[in-house]
Amino acid sequence: MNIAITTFILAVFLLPGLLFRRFYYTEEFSKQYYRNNFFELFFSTLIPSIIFHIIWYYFIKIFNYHVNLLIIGDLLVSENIPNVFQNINKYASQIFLYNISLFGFSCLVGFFGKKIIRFFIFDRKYKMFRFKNSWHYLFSGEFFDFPRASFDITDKVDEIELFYVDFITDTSEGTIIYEGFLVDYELTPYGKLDYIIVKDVERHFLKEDLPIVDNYKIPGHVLIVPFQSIININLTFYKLDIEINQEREIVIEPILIE
Amino acid sequence: MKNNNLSSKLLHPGKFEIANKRKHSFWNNEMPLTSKRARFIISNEIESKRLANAVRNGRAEKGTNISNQIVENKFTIRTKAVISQFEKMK
Repeated sequence: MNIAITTFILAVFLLPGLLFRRFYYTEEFSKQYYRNNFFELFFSTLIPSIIFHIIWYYFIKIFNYHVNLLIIGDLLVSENIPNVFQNINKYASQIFLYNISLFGFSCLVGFFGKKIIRFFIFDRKYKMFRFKNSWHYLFSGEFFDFPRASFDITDKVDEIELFYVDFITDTSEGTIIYEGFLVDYELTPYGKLDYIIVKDVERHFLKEDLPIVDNYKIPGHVLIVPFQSIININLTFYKLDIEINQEREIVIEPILIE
Repeated sequence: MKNNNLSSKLLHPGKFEIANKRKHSFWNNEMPLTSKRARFIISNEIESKRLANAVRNGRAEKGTNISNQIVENKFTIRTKAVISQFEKMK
C-alpha cells in the first residue's frame, strides 16, 4: 500500500464533506465550521462525504457513466501501480468531471441547505437543525421562537428594531453597571462570546440606588467589552414608533417589545 | 416660526411604517441586530445620543422627575442627513 496515494485518495474522498460544511456554516454560524479536534472534524466531514459519494455514484448512472470501484481498490492495495495509473489516465477526463461536479454539488447543497433552514426557520422550530451559536439566537431575539422558550412576545421577532443592554463588571473600585445599544458581537473560534460592542454607553456604580441622578457618559464611538469581564447581561428589546407630525417632523418613540 | 430644516417636504403626516423591519429573505437570511431605520439614527452621533436618552427616560417611570427635569421618551429628528435618509426609505 502506498501511503501517499492513500492519503491523497482520502483527501479527495473527504473533500465533498468539507465543502458542504464550508458552505453550510457561513456568516453568523461560520465558527461552527471549525472543530475542537481532528477526530471531530474527521467524522463531521466523513459522514456527509459518504452520503454525497453514494448520491453521485447512482446519479451519474443516469448519464450512462459508472464509477469503477476496482480502480480505487487497486490504487489502495495493488502492487502494480503503473497499470492502475494507465487505467486512470484512460478515464482522466471522466474522473475529473465526476469530482468537479460532485464538489460543486456539495457546495450547492451546503449553501442552499442553510438558506432553506434559515428561511423556513426550521432552526428555531426544531432543535436538530439549530446552529451552535446560542448568542446569535439570544442577541437577535430569535430564541423567542424556540418551542421551549417559556415566554412569548406578542410582537413578531422581526419587529425588534433595537437592542439595549445593561451589563455588570467588577473592578477594584466596585461593581459597575454599563448600559447602551448593542451594535455587534464577536465569537471565539469555539463559539463562545468573545466581546460585545456597545454604543452610547453610560455607567454607574451598582451601590448607587435608583433613581440614578448622574450616569457617567463614556465618550467615544463604541465601547468594546471582553466577555470575560462581564458578570451578567440584561437585554431589552425595543421597536420604534415613528410618526410624522403635522409640521412634518419625524418624531421617534422607542417602545418596549411586548 | 418653524425651522424648515427640521421638517420634511417628502414625508406626509402619519405613522412611518415599513414592512420587514429587520429584513429577512431567502437570499439574505441573516437578521441584522438593528433595523434599517434604527441604524440611520444610531449611525448619527447626535440622534443616537438622543435616542439613548429617550430609551433611558422611557425606562424610568413616566412623569418622574429626575434632576428637576420632566422625562421625555420621545424626540424629534433634528439632523438633515437623517431626515433625508428617512425620505429615501419611503
